[in-house]
Amino acid sequence: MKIVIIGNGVAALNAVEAIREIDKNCGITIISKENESFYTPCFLANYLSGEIAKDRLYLKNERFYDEQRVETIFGNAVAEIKVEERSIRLSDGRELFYDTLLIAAGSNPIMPKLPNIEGGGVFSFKTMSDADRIISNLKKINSAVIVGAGFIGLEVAEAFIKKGVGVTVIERDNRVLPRMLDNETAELVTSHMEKNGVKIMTGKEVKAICRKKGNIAGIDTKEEIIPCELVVIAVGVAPNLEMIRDNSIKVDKGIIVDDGMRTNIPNIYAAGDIAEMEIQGERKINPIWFYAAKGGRIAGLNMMGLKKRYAAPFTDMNVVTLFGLPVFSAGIQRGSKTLKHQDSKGIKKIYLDENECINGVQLIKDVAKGGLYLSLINKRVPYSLAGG
Amino acid sequence: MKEIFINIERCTACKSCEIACAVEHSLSKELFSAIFETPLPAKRVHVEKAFSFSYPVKCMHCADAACIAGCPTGAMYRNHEFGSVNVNTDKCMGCWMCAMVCPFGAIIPDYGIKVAQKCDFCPDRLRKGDEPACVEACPTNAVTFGEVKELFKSKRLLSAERAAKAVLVREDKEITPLEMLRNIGNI
Repeated sequence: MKIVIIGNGVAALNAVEAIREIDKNCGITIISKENESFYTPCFLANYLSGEIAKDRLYLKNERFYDEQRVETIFGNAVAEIKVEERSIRLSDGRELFYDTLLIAAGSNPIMPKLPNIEGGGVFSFKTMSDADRIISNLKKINSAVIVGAGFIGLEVAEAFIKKGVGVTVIERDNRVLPRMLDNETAELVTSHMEKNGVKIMTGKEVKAICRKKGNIAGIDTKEEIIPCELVVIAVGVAPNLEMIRDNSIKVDKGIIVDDGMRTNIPNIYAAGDIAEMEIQGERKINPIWFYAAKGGRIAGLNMMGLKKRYAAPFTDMNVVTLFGLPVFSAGIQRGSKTLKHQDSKGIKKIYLDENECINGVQLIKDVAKGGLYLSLINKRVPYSLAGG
Repeated sequence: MKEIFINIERCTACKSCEIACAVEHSLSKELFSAIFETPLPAKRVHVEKAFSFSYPVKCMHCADAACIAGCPTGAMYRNHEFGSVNVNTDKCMGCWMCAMVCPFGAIIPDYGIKVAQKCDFCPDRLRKGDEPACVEACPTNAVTFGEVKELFKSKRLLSAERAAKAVLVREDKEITPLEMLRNIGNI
């Protein structure tokens, strides 16, 4: 059997390990548009700030691929998947046939259509080469603007401060970390960031990027122009669907998969940031490491003929540490009742629904019990039984 | 493969396991010098109250461990020698993804040095043929260490014994129902 995997991230690698647990011999080919061995994107901001060396990002070296007998085609994007022919066409024109295909091509940073966004000085922050390009520009500049105050935007802001670059974060929503926090906890994070030198502007729309002789001069919001020399766009990610060219693979925002990571085509699977899971009519993309790892493994096992299913719901969750302050969030930060507890260990805020079950939890400072709350959310345990 | 079993009915919240765990994970591995170490050695088991019971919460070394899947540095791994889930502190960068997904709250973040700590199954002791520190310290056998097969066997034996004794007690007409129940309880 010939297996082709598009992507070289955590979903792809978990799939490889799952496949090799069952079949040591089948042919596996990994295709990646990046020219790197498997690395973790979760600590790119720590690399940007100089806290860690680049080699700490690599989780596997070339030897891994040899040992697992995985053929690699790096630095080559997939131009097209030909479902009928069971083949894929690479950007260099080569064609590859497969028996089973896993699409784990991840996501791309969203680049809004702003005037003057094309050209030097504007960066996204998703890959190692993004980080390298920013690093090579950092020495020349004193001030930067980050568009988007999600966790990537704030992590990059922290890295810039540590590098001695003045930074302003502009967020369209009325608060920072809008997908993780409510207004009250977001306010705490904002003041923590500001205390550490980050300027934060919320509720501001970016209208255009201003350039002088091609160089970045500032960012134009509706009210004012904020001068800067470098811009990082961190407004989120979207599934990398560029290789889906015909209509036979079912796609919405991402590639639609069931709870076994199967697409509508029997020998094609998808996992990771690109996969949009559909369970009981509800569709959800959850682009975080944990779900990609789980999904990749399930896809790999099912590709080998097992019947594994995703057990837990796709609950939104994340944890991020900003200037030493851990921030955890899981579930939906809305509900009919709010509980809040604050002591020297930190802040705990819980939203309950009308059945006293936990909708969402936010923890600031001490996040050790985060997983406990996550499992209470997933199991719909009434909070009174959980004991507080 | 040996595992740690916890019998909630036997735990008296004496916290001997907590002390033994902290001592085992100290530099000196001696109680009297461990209490003078800075930072104080951290315990990886916490006795928590649950209604009228107490329960030593620790890593369950899950077969399908969420913390291993969730770890974006490859620091969390399966130790195949003992079947345990361990953390490589050189690789850990303190992102707390493991704490985010652990359903038992068994990860103990060391926020100071940004490293996750957890029950490591006391590998030094196991290699010497000893039991984990919490097991050795438990005075009521609430925490025991053994093969899963043996645990099931002993549970089966216990229920067989109880059934047999219930029959014996019933045949003794002299005994009152209340005494009968007490006798079963003593078994």
